[in-house]
Amino acid sequence: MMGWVRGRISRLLFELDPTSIAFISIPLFVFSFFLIYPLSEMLVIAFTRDGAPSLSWFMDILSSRFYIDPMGQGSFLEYSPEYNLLYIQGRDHGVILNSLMVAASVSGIAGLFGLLVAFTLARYEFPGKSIFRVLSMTPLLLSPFVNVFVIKKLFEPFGLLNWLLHDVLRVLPFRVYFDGLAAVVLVQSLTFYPIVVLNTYSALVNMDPTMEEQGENLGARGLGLFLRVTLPLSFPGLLAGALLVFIFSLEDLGAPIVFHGNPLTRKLISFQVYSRFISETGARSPEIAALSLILLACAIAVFIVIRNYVSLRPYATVSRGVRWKPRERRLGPIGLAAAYLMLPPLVFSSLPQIGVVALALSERWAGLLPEGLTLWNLVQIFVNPRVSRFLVNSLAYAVISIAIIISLSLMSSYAASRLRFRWISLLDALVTSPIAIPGIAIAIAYFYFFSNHFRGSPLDPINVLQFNPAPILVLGYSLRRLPFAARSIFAGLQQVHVNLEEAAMNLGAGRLRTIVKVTAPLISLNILSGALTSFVYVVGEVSLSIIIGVLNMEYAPMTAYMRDVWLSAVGSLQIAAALGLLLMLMQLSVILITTVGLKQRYAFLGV
Amino acid sequence: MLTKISCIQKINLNKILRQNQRFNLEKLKINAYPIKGMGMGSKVDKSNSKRIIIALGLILIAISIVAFYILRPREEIPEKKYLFSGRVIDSATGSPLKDATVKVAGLSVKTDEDGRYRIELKPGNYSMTVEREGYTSRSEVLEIRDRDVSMTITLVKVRKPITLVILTRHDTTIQEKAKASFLASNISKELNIVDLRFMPSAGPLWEDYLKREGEVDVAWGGGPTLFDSLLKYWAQPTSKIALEIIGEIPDKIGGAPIKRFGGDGSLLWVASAISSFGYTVNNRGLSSWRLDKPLSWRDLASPGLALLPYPQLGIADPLRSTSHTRIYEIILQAYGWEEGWRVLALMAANSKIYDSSDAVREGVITGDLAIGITIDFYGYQAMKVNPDTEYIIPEGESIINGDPIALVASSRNREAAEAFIAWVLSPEGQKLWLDPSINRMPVNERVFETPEGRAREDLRKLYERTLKTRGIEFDDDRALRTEMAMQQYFKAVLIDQNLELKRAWREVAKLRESDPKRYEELRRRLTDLISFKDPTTGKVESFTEEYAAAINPRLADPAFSDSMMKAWRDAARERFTEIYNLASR
Repeated sequence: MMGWVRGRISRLLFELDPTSIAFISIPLFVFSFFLIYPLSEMLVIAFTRDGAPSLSWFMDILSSRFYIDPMGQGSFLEYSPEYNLLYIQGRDHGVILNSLMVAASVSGIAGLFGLLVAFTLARYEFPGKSIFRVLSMTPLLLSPFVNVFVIKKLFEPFGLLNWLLHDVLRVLPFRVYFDGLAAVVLVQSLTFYPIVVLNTYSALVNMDPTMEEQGENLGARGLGLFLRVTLPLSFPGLLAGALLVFIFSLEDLGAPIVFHGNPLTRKLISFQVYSRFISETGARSPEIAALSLILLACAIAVFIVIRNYVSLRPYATVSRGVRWKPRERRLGPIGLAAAYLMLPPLVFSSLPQIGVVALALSERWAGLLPEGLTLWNLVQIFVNPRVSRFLVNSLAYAVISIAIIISLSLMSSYAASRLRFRWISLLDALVTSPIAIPGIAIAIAYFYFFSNHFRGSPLDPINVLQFNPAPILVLGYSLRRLPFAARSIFAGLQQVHVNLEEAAMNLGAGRLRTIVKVTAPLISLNILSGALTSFVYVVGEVSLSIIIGVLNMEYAPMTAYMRDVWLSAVGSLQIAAALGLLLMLMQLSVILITTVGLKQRYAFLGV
Repeated sequence: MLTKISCIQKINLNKILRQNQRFNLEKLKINAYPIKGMGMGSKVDKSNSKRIIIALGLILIAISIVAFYILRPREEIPEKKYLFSGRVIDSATGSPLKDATVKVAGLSVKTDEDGRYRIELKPGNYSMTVEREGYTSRSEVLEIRDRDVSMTITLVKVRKPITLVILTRHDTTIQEKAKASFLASNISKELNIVDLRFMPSAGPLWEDYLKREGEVDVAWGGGPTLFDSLLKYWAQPTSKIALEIIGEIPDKIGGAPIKRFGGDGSLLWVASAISSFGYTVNNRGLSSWRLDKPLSWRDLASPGLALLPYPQLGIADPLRSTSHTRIYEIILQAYGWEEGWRVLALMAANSKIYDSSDAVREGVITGDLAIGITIDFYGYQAMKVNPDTEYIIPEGESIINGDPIALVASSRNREAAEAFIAWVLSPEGQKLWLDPSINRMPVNERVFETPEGRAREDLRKLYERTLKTRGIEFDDDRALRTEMAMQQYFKAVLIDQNLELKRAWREVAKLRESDPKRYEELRRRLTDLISFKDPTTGKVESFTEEYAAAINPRLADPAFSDSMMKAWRDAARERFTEIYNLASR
């Protein structure tokens, strides 16, 4: 018995060196103390009833038809001949089932469309390809609050889309009104499919072409080749992307808020948590805490699937670093037509961003199209000295967060992918978990955590005159956006065969030295890609910014100011749009700068 | 021996000369060459230097003789002195300051009991300083020519710079404009108020801030219900300027309380703006959907609104909007509890339900909605942005609300806080409401006498109309007694079960023409108060006003509230499904 323990300990010690210990413990500590603990404090109320521990809140939720209604009710769509209108909203299956079904639909649609786009970009060469590439990435540009208005303008019965399809092109004999869950599915698919594209594209481009060549040698062609060689090999990437979209859809708040006037849209987990977590009396609802935990459980379950499935198929190659000739073909006329057929949906998916630009440059948008071209809104935001401060704040927070993110994710991803432990995947799951945690839960958890434990200090949100939200914001941003970098770096590490590092270590390099001199340069693109996505998402972060950031406007980031401007006086919508435009330009420039360097080599975004 | 130096090089003549003292340069190209020679240890010609010293000494002596002549002390001519006198006074009160030190020309004089000083000075330019403890010292330039000079000097009392912290629910536009105006005013300069720090905060967090004594000075804007729930934190202003202005403000406007008194008669808050409640309509939307302009709350519950393909009425979740909470309370008191809930139920059945009152306003402006219930100034804002919109007060069914400002009892800057409150209530401060992007109703009528007031004829007309509005007799206490219960019941029954409610109501509404008797019967049953099982007692209860008042205090406990709302939700779902089945048969 003792021998067994001793054996395990010695194996443990063999794996560990100071660097590894540090790599495990630092992220572990940071996450335990600044994520797990505040959330637990918040959520422990889900497990108590009348002072005693109890699972009754969970039982109540799972047994209530409000949350789970397998039969469903309502009609998926309704046609009203009197007004010549097709009203599509979806059926109601209870809050939990609604969310799961919406997420499944979104990942299915995004997966399919994303695969199509990625394959076209990866395997074919045609004029206008760069436009395709740009369009497929634009939905990643986030512009909170204003996109609400724009999306509504596009989708409503007398909005742009219907005008185009019904009035102008006469493609449809009636007007279509997407509302409720159907609208959420549509909008989320369009917003999230780039994630699938990035993942799948990367898998396709990094695939060893000899595999496909062998298939062709043995007689496979076209669709057969695709189904039997290409798709299975790239499937992990595709699946990872699709499952990531599933999780994003589960916790997304943007689309439900746009359509929340419809009661069906309110019956989504994310919206229920957002709208009920903190009531007018400031008390925390145990039912909602239980619901949040259910959401968390679903998301984490999906994660484990991603993790395990991807790591089942290591497709690293020893010949890493060789730039093989991309398998791109020119398209014939039929192929070209098919490719260009994808253009309308691509443009369609970028319409929200285009709309925000249009809104920013217009005087008003009351009817179908924006009116009154003007630069006044843009000028206003530069003339107004307050705005530059928010810009600087946002940038500063982003830069500091990226530093923290990259260091922590390097540590944890390296530990997760290189150290041979039974439980190391838990660390990886821990580090990736923030994706599944609704931002608003973290924001509120931090509010209570810091006001309870740091009372009276500048970190105390209720300390009216001295409160400095910057440390809390940076901490929150870093933890919330860490998963992207972590997954990106992890994927890179998966593709760097461990032999390369072992060779270095055999020759006498210590672990840290190996990492610095061998591993890091090989995954530099992944690190860059991780930093890039972190920047984009930090700068556009909303939940923490509008709950903690607004408590001291001197340190508030841009998104907090946008919300303020949007909600205050009427007519500031254009200024908020101008701010959104600025935000998008910042994100775009970062993307362009790194894409020029990355060119053909998109690293994994996600897993 | 002759050293032969042939090409041009830098040669050290020293070395050569030491050796043989003679040199010959040969084979030189035709050019001019600089020759530098250096020697060591040259002898000084003593005789020359001696002469120089003597010359210098003579010049020095000459200069000093001339200088002494010019600068010799002259005989004193008795010069005429003039009187420099005056008073030193306090800038704020004008009262004389004794024991102030006046320093000029090296002389120092203290002022007497009357603040007076006298100094005699010769003609000339002087720099004068006046100092006194507790006051900022002042320097002046003084010129005495050919007569006595008298000068009154005002000293400003030294005040620590003050930052006022104001808890508020007013939006950023109001905050920014108020800050700009107030900090430019005389009173703020006098009291050295250098900054206004607004704490925009949602209602639930107010108590957290107020519990920290001394952190907050003033509370401004948030609706009377919020202020009434925090009465113990407010105090009566006692300074002269505050009381003077408050005296100008009426106790009631249009029947609504503008001042709130505590049990002991002390004044706890004063409204700084008034609002009414009604709905804003988009006339274009009304005509394209062929709807009549609603004239009362009951019109919003009409079956006609139910049969549209998608809702054209907008309301907000009372748990997320204080203004809509008020509107629902108004409806419940205007029609009575039971009938009021029938109207509310059908309104909810006819509506798109939003999370904020802003969203309702935006919906009407953009044409998303034909009707939206709103507080008045949202309606005025809408009218300014989109002329197709119109704000309507249902006749005899509304109230006027005063939006309070209060002095926080634990404030450490009382004088400054009261000055701010006085400013807000004065015509100067009330001008804020007349700003074209704010459009609120003031409480101080005198604001319309200012130039800005006279420019807003439209608001003055609305103000007069508001004064004449005879609303309902609204009982604030009665509304407070059941507020949380009302909000949560509304949420659980009418919002969470909105889909079922809508379906049922649509089916019932379809019967209006074909089977009026059944329509009436089903409509009544649909809108009856819900019967449910009380989660703690297990008894079947009905949501009467008495029951609501009884459970209201306990609803602050989130666990109880969750279980109550579940009970309501499940019961409502049953009822609505039942009616749907009955109606669609």
